Amino acid sequence: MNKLIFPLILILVVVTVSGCVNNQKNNQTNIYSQNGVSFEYPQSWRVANVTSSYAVAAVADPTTVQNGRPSTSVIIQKPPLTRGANLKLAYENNYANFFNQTGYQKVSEANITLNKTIIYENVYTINNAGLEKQYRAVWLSKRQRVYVILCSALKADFDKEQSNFDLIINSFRAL
Amino acid sequence: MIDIVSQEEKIIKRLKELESDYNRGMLSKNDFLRQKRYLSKQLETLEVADRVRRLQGKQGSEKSLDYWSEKEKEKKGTEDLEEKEELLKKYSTKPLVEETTDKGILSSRTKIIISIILIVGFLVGTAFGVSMVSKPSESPKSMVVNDTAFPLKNITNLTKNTTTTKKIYYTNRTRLINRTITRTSSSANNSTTK
Repeated sequence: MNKLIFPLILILVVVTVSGCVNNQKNNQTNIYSQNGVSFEYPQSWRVANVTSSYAVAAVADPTTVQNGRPSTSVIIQKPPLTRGANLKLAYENNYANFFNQTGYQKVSEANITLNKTIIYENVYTINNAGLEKQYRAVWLSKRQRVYVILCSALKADFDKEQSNFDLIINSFRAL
Repeated sequence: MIDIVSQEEKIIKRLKELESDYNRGMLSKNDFLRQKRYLSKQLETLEVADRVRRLQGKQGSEKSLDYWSEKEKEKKGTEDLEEKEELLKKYSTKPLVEETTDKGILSSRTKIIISIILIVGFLVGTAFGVSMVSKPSESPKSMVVNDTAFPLKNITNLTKNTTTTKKIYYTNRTRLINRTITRTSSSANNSTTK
């Protein structure tokens, strides 16, 4: 009987551990792949309906929903480009008068060169009837198309959502 | 003399009964052998006594050769059985039998323990796995997002400023021309009326 104790414990450990082992990455992220775009998003988030212009996809954190509208979300927009226009021109035109709107305030602006590709980033806040939200708009060009990844959250939650925003931005692919 | 013969017959009768009892299963093998051995010894004693008497010239029990040969056979049979018993005792000892039965019990117990451990392990693992799976949250239909990266007004102008301006210019110009034409015509009309 004593000889059997070790194999029995081994079997118990193997069976228990095999039941508990999981792929951490798969459990933490979902993959969105529709409407010509693909990206990973947090596992607890859900795909949302989007009514914005040029929007091709939207995901949101369902725990932040109030009156059917999530405060933490990411929208992918694909604006049409006229002949001769490029990412830089589209970006500059967009923000030429953008902050003239009431309640809009620029926080920061940056452009990053990644693999010979320029990415424009604009962080701003919008105060709408006392509710302040912070936005991070990432402009990038893929396959001669301009895509805007608009990440938004309540100003208080914005910093802690950065990892989720980064996950979506870094995994973004144009199909 | 009469006593010896009658006793022999009694013993033989008893032996036959014993065998029939044993064959019916009314006696255990050990009891059968023990009683048979005892009766055989008694019978042998009586036979020896009978022979001694005959040797002394006294009248013994007159028995045929067949009787004595049967007796010998029975004796041999009894001896064979005894030998077999001894051999069994020698080579299939009790402790060995007990050990094998113990092993059998242990193996069944072990099997039960192993199966219980496997079931418990499986249930624990499954429960843990189920607890790790996140519950489905609010359905996507209930979430509507309407944020936009573009200005809320004149969205179409974002990348078509030049074109739009031109359109406005032409429109204004057309209006101006139209107004001029209208004015001219109205003045012409006025002049005609005048």
